[in-house]
Amino acid sequence: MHQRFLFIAVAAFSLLRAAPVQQAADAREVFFVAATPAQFDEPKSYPATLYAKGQGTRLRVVQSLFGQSRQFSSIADDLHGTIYLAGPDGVYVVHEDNPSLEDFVPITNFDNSTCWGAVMVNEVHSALQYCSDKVYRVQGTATAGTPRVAEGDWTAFKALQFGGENGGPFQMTPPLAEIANNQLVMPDAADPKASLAELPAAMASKPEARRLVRIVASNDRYLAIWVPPASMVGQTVDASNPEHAEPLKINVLNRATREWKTMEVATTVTSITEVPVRIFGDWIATVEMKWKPGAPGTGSGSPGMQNERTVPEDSPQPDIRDRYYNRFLDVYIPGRLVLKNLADGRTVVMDIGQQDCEVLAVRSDGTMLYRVNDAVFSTVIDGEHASVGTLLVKDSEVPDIHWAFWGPANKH
Amino acid sequence: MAKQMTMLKAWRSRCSLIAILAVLYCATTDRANAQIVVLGSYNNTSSGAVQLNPGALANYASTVVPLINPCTTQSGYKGSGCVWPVNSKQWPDPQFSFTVAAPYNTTTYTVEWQMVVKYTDDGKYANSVTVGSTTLPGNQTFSPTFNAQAYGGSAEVQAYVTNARCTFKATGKLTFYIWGSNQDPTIQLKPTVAQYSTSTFGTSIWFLTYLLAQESGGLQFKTKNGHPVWGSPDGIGVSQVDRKVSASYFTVEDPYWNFEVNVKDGLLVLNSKRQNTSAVCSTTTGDVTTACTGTAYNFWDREVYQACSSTTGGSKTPMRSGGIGTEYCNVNIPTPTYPAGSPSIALHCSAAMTWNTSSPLGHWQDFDWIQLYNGAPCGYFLAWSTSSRSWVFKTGACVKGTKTFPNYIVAVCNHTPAY
Repeated sequence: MHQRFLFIAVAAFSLLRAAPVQQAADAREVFFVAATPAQFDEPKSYPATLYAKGQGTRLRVVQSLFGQSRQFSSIADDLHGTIYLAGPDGVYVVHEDNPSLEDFVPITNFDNSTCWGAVMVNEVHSALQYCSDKVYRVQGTATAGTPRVAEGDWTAFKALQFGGENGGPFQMTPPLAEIANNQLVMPDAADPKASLAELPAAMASKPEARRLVRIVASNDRYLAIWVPPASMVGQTVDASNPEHAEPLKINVLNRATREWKTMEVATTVTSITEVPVRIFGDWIATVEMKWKPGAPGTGSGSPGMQNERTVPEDSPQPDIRDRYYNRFLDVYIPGRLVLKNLADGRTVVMDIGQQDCEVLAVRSDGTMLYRVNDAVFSTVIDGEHASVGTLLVKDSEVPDIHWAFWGPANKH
Repeated sequence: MAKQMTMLKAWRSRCSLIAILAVLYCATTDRANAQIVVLGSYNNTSSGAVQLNPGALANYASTVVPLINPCTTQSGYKGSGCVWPVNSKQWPDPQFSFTVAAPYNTTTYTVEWQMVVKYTDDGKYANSVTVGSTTLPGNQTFSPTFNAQAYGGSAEVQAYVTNARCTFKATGKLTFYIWGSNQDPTIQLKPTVAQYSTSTFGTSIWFLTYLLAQESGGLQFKTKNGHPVWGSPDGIGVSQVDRKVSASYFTVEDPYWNFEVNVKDGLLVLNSKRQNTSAVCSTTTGDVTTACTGTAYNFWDREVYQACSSTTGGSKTPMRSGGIGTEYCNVNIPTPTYPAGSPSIALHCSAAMTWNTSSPLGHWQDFDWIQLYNGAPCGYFLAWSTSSRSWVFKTGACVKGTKTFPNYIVAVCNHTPAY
């Protein structure tokens, strides 16, 4: 009885989130998370800040989360209203229904390399899991009598929530899995602890082959993965002469139908970049990229590099332009956003003409936020079309914004 | 009583008048002819005292350029005839002496001396030091010393001369430049590096001669003009200690002018980039967390740990065979193999292209250490990528702003040694 009630409650909650709420939504304030994930090969770290729209088109600080010296590392969005930002000394929990609430959970020995991600425990409780000497769990909300930080477990990653790769040139390492026979398992180790999904026979691989899988996106409805070719796994990488995979083919599981489909995405991945794909409900979004070798410092001719932020070496801000030059070597990025709806097959293409652009959010009613260099725009997807958006914010910190959400209804 | 007061006032009035007349007298005699000539010399051991104002001209801008010279002789801006340890009488203070010329060089006059030296580096950092200021009888020599610290740049020596009767001052100036000549690479730089390497690290560091060569060519001063070697964003001197990043070393000007101090500071900076021994990072478990990636050997431990846990399903517990930088795996893991076809680093660095989890010095770990001395603007030279289960080498150029910099490790490993 209790379980049935729980199911109804969850279903109702899900419907409520998914339903078009145009009128109410218009009254909701937009919030932005400006955060640059720590890079796997760099000593530097960058600040993380929660913003809202301020006066005019300027940003307003809601919460300063991590200063530069506190070594912000990783971000995880549970896609259900809670965002986690972690560093060595603790986790900031951002509650989308109360963004100004300061919620810091101290932790020690944070590590994101072997396991990391937001999960929905028993499909209802948001939590963050990370590894150190064992798997730890940070509860999304404090509950009386229950410790906020406790031992987690690998099986919770079955309900992994991962919105995909953030835009901009500072990508984060995605959750990793591997194939064991016909199972997609975590962690990517010789002794996997949890199965995330059953794979089609064509994708099956012997456990001893330890076929590596990058999780591209994972929400309640879909699981998208990319299996890197053998030439891009386990080989010494020369970052100045990277391998690449193009066109990119990802595998998408429809959780409701349990069907896997192969989907070609108009982008590329190199030995030193991650899959530039995100998921927003039914929408898969990507920033188009093409393999195009070019000399260092040319950006392979990508448009808009002159409009990207560049800063002195000792600046606390990340250098956007330099990072594109150095990380996206031999990659041409025309500034085109491509969205595909997994439910109804619609495709929306937006020609931005600026390399540093990304989709930040797509709501179920079609409202979409996207970033172009130092500005965020709002538009509405209409069928297979999205017109040039309305400017929401334009500020020097906007290039660091990679996540956005609508907060509670504005009381004013 | 009233009469006495009146007499006192009258006397004061007369005295004041006398004083005013005296001042006017001085002003119309001494001041009118007040051409204070400042004479100066500095000690150059190869040729004795060198005169800065041989023509005894007033307010003279000298064309003689004293060189901060760690050697007994000099040839242009290149030192020679050097000894070790350097002789403190020659280095770092060039041993200046100043006097005023006649008729003010007697005890009749008093001279207020001041010597100020200013230098603005290529990064627009302005430095100014008052080398000395004192008041002496006119017949005495002003020999300023600045706490035995070195200084250089644009020097101005001012002499304010008064006599016993007058309250006004006549001023004379002598201006000149102080630049530097370089230390001898073999006789001075090499033992200096050896000395501070031992005191800083407890041992010699194999790559220092190549690192210093890449940073500055092993030079403290530019050979064309004797100015301190400067490199973007604000590296100074032989070890290119960065003023912006390591401001604490610049509370004195020594890193600009004293190669010995510069070497010492550079090695301290290098040491700070090797490992983090704070509480979290000194433990085996904490060492591999995200808290410790800012130092090279800790970063290395994290990379090996990740390679261990993700490649072959090795231990999930970090393990070190010794101190920081000695992370190892309980199963065989791929070791780095320098990519074929990449620019060679074998010339000076072949011995370090080796896997060793017992002693980090002299092995792969050092490449990240070397890279970090340069700030790793494009990341570490060698890192483990969990998402491709691969060792990633950065062998290419690094683009910063409008400039493309050659690969730092490749440059260090192929540079002619500094000594």
